[in-house]
Amino acid sequence: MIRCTLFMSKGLFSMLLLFLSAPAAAGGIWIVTHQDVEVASITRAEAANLFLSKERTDSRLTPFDQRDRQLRERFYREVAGVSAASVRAYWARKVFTGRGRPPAMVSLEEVERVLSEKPGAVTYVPAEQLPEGCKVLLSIGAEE
Amino acid sequence: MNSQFTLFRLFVVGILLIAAAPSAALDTHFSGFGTASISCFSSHTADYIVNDQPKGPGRTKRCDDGSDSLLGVQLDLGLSESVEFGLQLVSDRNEDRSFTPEVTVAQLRWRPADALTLRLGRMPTDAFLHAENRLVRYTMPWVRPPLEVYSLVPVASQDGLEFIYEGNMGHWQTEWHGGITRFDVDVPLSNTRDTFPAESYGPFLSLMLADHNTRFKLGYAYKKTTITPPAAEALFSALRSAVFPDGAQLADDLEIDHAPTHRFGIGVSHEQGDWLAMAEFGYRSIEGFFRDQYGAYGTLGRRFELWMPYATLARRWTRGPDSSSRAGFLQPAVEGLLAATRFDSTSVSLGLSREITEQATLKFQTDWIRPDKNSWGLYSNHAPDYNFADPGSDWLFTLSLDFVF
Repeated sequence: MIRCTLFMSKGLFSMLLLFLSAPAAAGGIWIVTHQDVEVASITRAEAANLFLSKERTDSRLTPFDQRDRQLRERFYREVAGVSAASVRAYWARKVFTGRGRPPAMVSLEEVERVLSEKPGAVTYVPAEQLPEGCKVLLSIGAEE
Repeated sequence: MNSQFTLFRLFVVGILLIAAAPSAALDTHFSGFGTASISCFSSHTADYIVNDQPKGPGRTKRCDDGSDSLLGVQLDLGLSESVEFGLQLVSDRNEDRSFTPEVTVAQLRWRPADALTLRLGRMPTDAFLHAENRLVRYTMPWVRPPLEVYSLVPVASQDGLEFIYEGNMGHWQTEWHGGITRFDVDVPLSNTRDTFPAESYGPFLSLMLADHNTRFKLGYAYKKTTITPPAAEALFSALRSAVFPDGAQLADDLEIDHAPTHRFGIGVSHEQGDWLAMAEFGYRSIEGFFRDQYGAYGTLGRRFELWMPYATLARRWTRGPDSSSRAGFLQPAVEGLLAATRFDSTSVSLGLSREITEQATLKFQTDWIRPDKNSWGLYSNHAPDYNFADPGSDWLFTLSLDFVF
């Protein structure tokens, strides 16, 4: 059941399309933030930049990684085409050269609380587990 | 002594900064990395040497658990929004065969603008793709970075000042590193417990282009290097005696005393889905008896869930004169000195890694290593019966557990 406020930039058509395609999107991953966040949507490249901190894009958004290993693996393969292992190696390089730290981790159970308590928090969830009060910034990995 | 003094001053600056900002909420991070490893080497006439260590598996001891094993801890202390102090200590085998921890990073990092970071203090060299994190084996596919390339730069950290400028070029993220650094180390002398000093200082500049899947690195450094092995010093003194008309000039040509040094590196790493491909080329030229040295490797790997088999082909070679007619009856000694820096060899490595946890990876690697004819290979502690003219090939087996915390 979809309880999340959809806020896709392409308007009503996109909203309808997402609602209609929801059953087919089983297995998809949605990048979400709190509904009060001003950002309406992000692209796949922006999502990859946000979570891999390749560039300082939108300072209003703070990424939170998911503890669930399989979800994280699917997310990074979908959004950046790399394995979670290579992402971990990337962050280890950053940490031990003093040039960055990985996003904090949350569990699926914590998502709703973190999005409401941390201004600008962004994370990703399975399409079928959208928490209340959130806004979808991007849908990825849904089977067409 | 000099570098210890620099570090001492750095600590004082760090402490003063902390004291000067009592109201700042200190953002403290503690982390660490390590490798537990054992290597066995088939050679009876030489040791396989990692990171300029005084011994390794092979002639000294068939199997060695100290060549790649290490433990590192790191403290990052946020002093303000834009200033951070970083300290890293690493315990691995030192030139005196002890495992006394050494300071590998001790630096103040100041970010005056989003795109610019200045680092002052001790830092690892930035020469190749994995040079900066070469001790953090967890970050790389191999049990150790291919020494054919990575032994072109010292593993020792350097003291100096560095700027990092981050920007964009099309869809590429760019990262410029530049600065000036110096290091001085004691190099173990083969078949002894003695060491000799080496130092190098000068500017460097590198550029990294990266997107989510690909990293290109291009780097150049100009250094002044001094290396004074005792046998070479004795030879230069003999050449400078009045016996040889051109001896003094030859000694000057061979001596490495504030000698101009050029180092160049180019590398690419690409990951797409389950595939990983890497290749690097390195070049180092030290005016004097070291001559021009080149190294290159290519690695291909593929992930199968938690497993990743990989293969690497690596090559090290030297260019430059093998002898000098100006040496008179000391020509064999000059040829011996020139040959002492000939590490030319080829290796083929096959490895298999498996993620044990998200913070630990078990790796097994087999290296087939063949030093060129008339080469010492990347070995040390050679036995008198080491066949310099035709060393043949050797096998190296390594089992490692790399972890971070």
